[in-house]
Amino acid sequence: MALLQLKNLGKDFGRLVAVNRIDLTVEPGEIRGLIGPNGSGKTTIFNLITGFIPPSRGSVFFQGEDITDLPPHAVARRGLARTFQLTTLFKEMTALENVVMACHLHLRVGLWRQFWRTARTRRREKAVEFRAMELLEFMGMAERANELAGELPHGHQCALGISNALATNPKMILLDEPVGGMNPTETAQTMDRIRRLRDLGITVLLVEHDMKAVMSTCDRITCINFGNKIAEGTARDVCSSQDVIEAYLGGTSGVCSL
Amino acid sequence: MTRKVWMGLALLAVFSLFSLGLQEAWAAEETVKIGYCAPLSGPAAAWGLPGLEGTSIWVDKVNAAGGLKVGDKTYKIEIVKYDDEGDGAKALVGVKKLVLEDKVVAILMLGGATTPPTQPFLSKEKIMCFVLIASDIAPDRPYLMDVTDNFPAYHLLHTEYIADAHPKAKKAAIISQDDEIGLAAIAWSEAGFKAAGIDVVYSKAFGVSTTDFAPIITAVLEKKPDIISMGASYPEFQALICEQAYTQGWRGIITSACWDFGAILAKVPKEFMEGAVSGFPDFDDPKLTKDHHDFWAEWKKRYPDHSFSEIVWEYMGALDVWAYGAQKAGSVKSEDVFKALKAADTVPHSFGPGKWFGKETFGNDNLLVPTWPITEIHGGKPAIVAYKNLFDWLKDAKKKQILFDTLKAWNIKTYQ
Amino acid sequence: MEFLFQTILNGLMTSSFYALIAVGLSLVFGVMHIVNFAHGEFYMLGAYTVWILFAKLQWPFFLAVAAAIVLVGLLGLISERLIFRQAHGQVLSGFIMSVGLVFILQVAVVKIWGLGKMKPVPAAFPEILNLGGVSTSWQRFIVIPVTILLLGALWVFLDRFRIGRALRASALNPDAAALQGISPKKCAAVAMLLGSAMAGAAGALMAPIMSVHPYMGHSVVWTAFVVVIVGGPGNIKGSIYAALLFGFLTTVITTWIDSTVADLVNALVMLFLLALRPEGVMGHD
Repeated sequence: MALLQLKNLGKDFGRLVAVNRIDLTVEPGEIRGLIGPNGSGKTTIFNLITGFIPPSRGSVFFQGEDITDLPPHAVARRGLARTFQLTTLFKEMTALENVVMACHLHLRVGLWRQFWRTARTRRREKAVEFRAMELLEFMGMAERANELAGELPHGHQCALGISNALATNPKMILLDEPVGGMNPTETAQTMDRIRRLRDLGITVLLVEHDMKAVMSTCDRITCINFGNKIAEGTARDVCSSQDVIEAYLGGTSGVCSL
Repeated sequence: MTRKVWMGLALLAVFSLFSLGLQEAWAAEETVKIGYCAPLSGPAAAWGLPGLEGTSIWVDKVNAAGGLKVGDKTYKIEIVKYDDEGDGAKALVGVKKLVLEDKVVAILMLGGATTPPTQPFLSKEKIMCFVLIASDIAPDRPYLMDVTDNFPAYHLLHTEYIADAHPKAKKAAIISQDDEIGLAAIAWSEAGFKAAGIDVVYSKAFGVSTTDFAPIITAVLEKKPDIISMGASYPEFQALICEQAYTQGWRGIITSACWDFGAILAKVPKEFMEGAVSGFPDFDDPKLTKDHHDFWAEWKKRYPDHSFSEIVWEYMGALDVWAYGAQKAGSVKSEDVFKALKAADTVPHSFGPGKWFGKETFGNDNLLVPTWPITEIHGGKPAIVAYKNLFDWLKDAKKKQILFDTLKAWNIKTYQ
Repeated sequence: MEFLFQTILNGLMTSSFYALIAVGLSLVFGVMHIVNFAHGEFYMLGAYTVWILFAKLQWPFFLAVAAAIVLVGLLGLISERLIFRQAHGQVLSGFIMSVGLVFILQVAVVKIWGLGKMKPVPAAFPEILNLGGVSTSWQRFIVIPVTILLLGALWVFLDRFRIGRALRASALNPDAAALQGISPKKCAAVAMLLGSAMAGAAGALMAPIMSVHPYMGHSVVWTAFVVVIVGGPGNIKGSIYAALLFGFLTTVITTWIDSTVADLVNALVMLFLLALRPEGVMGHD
């Protein structure tokens, strides 16, 4: 069964059709790339899936459940996490506090236990901190754990955003330009981590401009232009598509310089 | 059958409407209206609202007796009230409505903040205005008079009494809000204390928006006064001032232009107010007349759970004086009543025959001054302990000079 | 010396009151982005509850205060549901709605209980408290410990409880919080419940000390805004510091000069600090 399924999904802003009618199916355990020229509707699709904006038509299914009309927090609770292009972090807190806060929000402790810090609660709080540190380490952030989130370089903010998203124990994660603002080394490390996410059983859907990263990491790629799906398949399939080549002509030349 | 019933009912309705209209038209000829434009809500409500109790008792009594005989006519009296909330702009709307729409022949007002905006209009219309604040009297306000309350002049008498009765009390503090009323009270009280040989160690106005009196009282108590005068602090302020003085541990003599005793006793014990000095007796005071006692009985019957203050009778006192003037003039026309009153050598005031005063201090002899009672609080109730007369006080040239110097120091205009 | 201690005591009392009223306002702003002008009316309703339950129906004072906290909190919850939810986090629409609510609540109170004289609330604890030569009434003094208790309870709530932590997360970054599965609507409702309850508590505690009338919220809400603006909107710790600053400033100036000057200085200090640190004294952004 497909993990995420978009059926005929579309969004109009007034007379502008941002997303026309998209059908998309993501299977469990897959890393899917979503590419397309600037303004082709990628981020809008993310917003439609996660409930930040309501669609004009069509529907979204996650694990077979219709989540089209759910608000963002309800989508997040069902195990579908995301990061933002402009990262959404708690900027006044340190990186560690960010992840601890995120983990805490998912800690199930009875009301009285929350108030009377029983030994068990304290043990669990320790455990939470341990887990938060683990997540930061996973994203290569360990040495920056005590820096204020707002003062981190862009690349690390992206990584912290992913750590925060992982704290919700998601089944699937939507990443919006996870390597934006990173140098080639960092990019390679991050893509490697994304592959390890898949190994942990987390399905990934990512939007990225760095074609090299996309092509080398994603199992399958979907290309959209002007709100329409123009190609889908393996990196090789997409690269050979005449529509894709035309869409990118005049933009970034040489999409598939593999 | 039904049609006949309907026609009959319709006829009856028309007839009753007609007769009602007739009755009203007939009554209107013989009714004289008096305006009541005072604070019925807001921080000064305690100086406006209770006045309706006295005036309604007065009006009911006169109307039950068939009306007020003026010349060869008999008038029913009607009070038309308007809530100015103690606000100048609202008062101007109020007096215009009362004069132009309701055609009142005189207006009862509290005075103070509402006087400057309303007087140009009332003077032009030559409508008599009875206020409770003598410091409102001015040369360009010919028809404004104060025929009941001797505020702020009686501060001279209160202070003199305190000096007589408490020779050991040597230091006084005076506070009141910084509006026309409050500043007049501070200036006259200061003059009174100084003339009586008492040091004024603190005299300052506080903002009308003050809600917390703790810091003010701390500053006052730092001067170690034996006497605290609340000047003409609004009734709600008085309660908070007394509460602070009490809780910060001060004990001494309190004096004030007037009291809202119910509000004060909600905050401090009766003992704290024992011996407090003012000039307003309850009307069941054994030293007062049968008229006062009768009024008290009627008022108690109508408002058994209300607390008594001078406001209850003062607006009514103005009605008494107005009626006296109208009967003397043989007319209810505002100007005629005014002339008749001013022509009289003595005019009956609630506390006895009064004489006109004010030329030197206010620029116009429009304050009716009787011999005034001094009261002390005993067991939570005011009792008359002395009578004093303002004209006697002013006979001492040295005291008089202190008065005028102090008023000048507080930037209060005089006409000496 | 006594003079100094008395002034410190007065300042502490005033600061406690400012903190109680400002923290609720700040919380509501932080979580909902609503500049709630009706906060003063919630305060007024807290005082009215005590007038009715304690002064008229003779309930025990603290029971009346507890009732005021609950009732005004619930009223805040209802107004979030019916009114503020429609603002969708837009500051201007929320502000206009709150001004509308001010008039609705004032008119309702005037219609039900009338204008006229102010409502007398006797002191529940008129006994005098003597602290080394300095004295005040218990009635006034209890404001300080009760404020500390309520702010402490709020802190425990925000620090230890999951929903409290969610509230803080939502105040810091509502989108990030939503990504963590936190419902902004639930946070708004809880913030409004708590913020209004604090206003109700302030009104209830002040009822025997100040004058109770339908417009008593006006001057208070202005003070609260000054405190919240200086403390940094949405910053609770900042509000507490600002409350201490203005509580003492007001007290000292009123003692030495007068209350009108105190209001003026408060406004000037606010403008000055605003020019110096636009994001509030605590440097929140």
